[in-house]
Amino acid sequence: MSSSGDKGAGIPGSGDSRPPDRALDRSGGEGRATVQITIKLFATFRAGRFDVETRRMEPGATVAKAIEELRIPRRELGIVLVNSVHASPEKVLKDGDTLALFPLVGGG
Amino acid sequence: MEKLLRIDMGAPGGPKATVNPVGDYAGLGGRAMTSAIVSREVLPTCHPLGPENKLVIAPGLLSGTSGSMSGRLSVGCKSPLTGTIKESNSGGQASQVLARLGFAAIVLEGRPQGDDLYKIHIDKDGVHVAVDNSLKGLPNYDLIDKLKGQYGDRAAFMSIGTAGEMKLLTSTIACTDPEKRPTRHAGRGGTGAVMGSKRVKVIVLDDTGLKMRDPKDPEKFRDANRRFVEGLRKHPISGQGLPAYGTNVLVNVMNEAGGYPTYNFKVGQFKGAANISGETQAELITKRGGNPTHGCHRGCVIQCSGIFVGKDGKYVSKQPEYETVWSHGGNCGIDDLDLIAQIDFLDDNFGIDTIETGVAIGVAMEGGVIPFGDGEGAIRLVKEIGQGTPMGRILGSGAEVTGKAFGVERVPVVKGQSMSAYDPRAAQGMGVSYATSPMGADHTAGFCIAANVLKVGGDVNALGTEGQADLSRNLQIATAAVDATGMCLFIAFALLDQPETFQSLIDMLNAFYGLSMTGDDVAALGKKILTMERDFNKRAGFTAAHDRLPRFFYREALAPHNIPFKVSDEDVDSVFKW
Repeated sequence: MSSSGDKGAGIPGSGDSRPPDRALDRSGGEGRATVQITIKLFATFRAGRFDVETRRMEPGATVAKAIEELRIPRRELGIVLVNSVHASPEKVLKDGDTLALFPLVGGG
Repeated sequence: MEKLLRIDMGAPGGPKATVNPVGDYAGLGGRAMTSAIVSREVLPTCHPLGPENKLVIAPGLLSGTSGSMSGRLSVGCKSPLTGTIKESNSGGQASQVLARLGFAAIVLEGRPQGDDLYKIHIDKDGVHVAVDNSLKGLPNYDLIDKLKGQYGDRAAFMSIGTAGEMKLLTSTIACTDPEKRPTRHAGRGGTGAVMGSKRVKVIVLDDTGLKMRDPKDPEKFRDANRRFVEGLRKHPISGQGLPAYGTNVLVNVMNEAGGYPTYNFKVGQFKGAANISGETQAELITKRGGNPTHGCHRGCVIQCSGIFVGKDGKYVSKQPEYETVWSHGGNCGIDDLDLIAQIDFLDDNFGIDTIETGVAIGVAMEGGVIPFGDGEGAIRLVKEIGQGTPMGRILGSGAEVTGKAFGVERVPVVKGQSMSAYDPRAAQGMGVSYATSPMGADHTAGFCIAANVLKVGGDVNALGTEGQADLSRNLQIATAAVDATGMCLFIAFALLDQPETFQSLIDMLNAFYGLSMTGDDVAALGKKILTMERDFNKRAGFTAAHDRLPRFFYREALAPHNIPFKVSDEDVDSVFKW
């Protein structure tokens, strides 16, 4: 699932090093367009996962779906940003979106 | 804490110390104590460096007890930077030691004639005020190195560096940490200049031979403290995030949220953010054999501070805080942690506010003094502050003076005090707190980032205007109350999210003092403090017109969200209507 070798649910096309241009989903064999998402993880979420990765997801995939595939327990989730704006788990991800996930953090 | 120590520095024949019962100020601590004394006893229209101003140093209600997190100290005066009342809050050992010495406050009054510099030493045997001109011109680290061997192991030091002696508006009062390093500061508002104006270089506090303060009901106190610590450890922020990454964990959060003020508040995201983030800093410190998890005072269970070491593993400075890494980092276009840590050391050593200094340098960069991103240039400028060159004195007078000197309009200050690492356009609630805090722009006074960005203690849309005034009001009230207890503000994340942890704090206060306070009483205390502070400011000449952000925030939209500050004046003015 990730560049660090975690055996999570696979995401078609993830973990390769192709440039983040719009691409076709080759795993499904149907030639459907997928959406390309950049996922950024922070703080403890990086452990055993990655810092930043681009992935392809099925059209209509939500933030919740991405989080589920990353195996991040919902109770650990602190801040969810899509393109720098706070987003709900139901939000549908669009091609080119950047999803940033943080555990609960604070300071100041 | 039944005694009040007044030292009249200007008494005929030399400084005169008087110890009295706390009297009318009984039952107050921390910010409640400093603001009560300043608002009642200081002429609001006085010059902050004149003999009419007073410097009040007060431990919190629970300082000096076995209660965890209780080591925060309040320092109050009329601020030379803002002209408002000031409470500047510091960690370090001083608060615990001062409370165990039995003092609810030290009040430095008057102003001596002549150039002599004084040292104040307080221990169980009494108060000693003596001339010590051998301390003149010593920066904080050199000063403490010279003094620490002369006093007991338990001594805590409060000192001014060279900046305080020069009475610069950015000057701080340093408090030593458990290892006797002058790393924790009453940083904001120029408190060091007020101490310098009274010709006091250092206050040595030594509680050797004294015990922890005794609660009225020891068993209940112990139980409440246990629940309190459990609550802090259970919460992800105080239990995991802050110990592991320190406050600087916020770099990535604020940058991703588009609210990381970059290039003197021109844009809300910094390309070099990853290089100076909390994650990167903690990894670097660990790799080099430093310590990313350290408490600024004994009894802290959060341990958000740390020790920054160089490539050779040797001490460089404390782990720079988020606001320091921002002010000298992204705000100036600098993304080099080693360089920022060097500046952090210089700031602490000269005794200058890391926030105000970094923002002043950012303004100077905008004014063309040096280019954005010029790290070596920034170090040179900070050294000039320590040397007191004409350029250094301009920068050391803070962002507002620097903006005037170099013809810059974009100067991010309210009431003369710089904002910090949260752009008010990307977190509109923060803008309301900056505008209305009696302290001038102060992120800690009402940390709306919690509900705006971190989604702790509520969820208020950062980019909208709705609910921001209510959020700021509630947080300013809660913060004022916490600042009276001597508790570190970082307990607030657990308090906001976990009602049982909030209750455990109230239980600690009740068990210690034999009271039966409720949450409502805590809110009433916060309101009382803010009312005293606002009243002082009003008598000093401040009006609603001063509760505004600089115009450019209303005019210039901030990328990436491309919005200006939008909260109406009417909403802003509603903050203190309760």
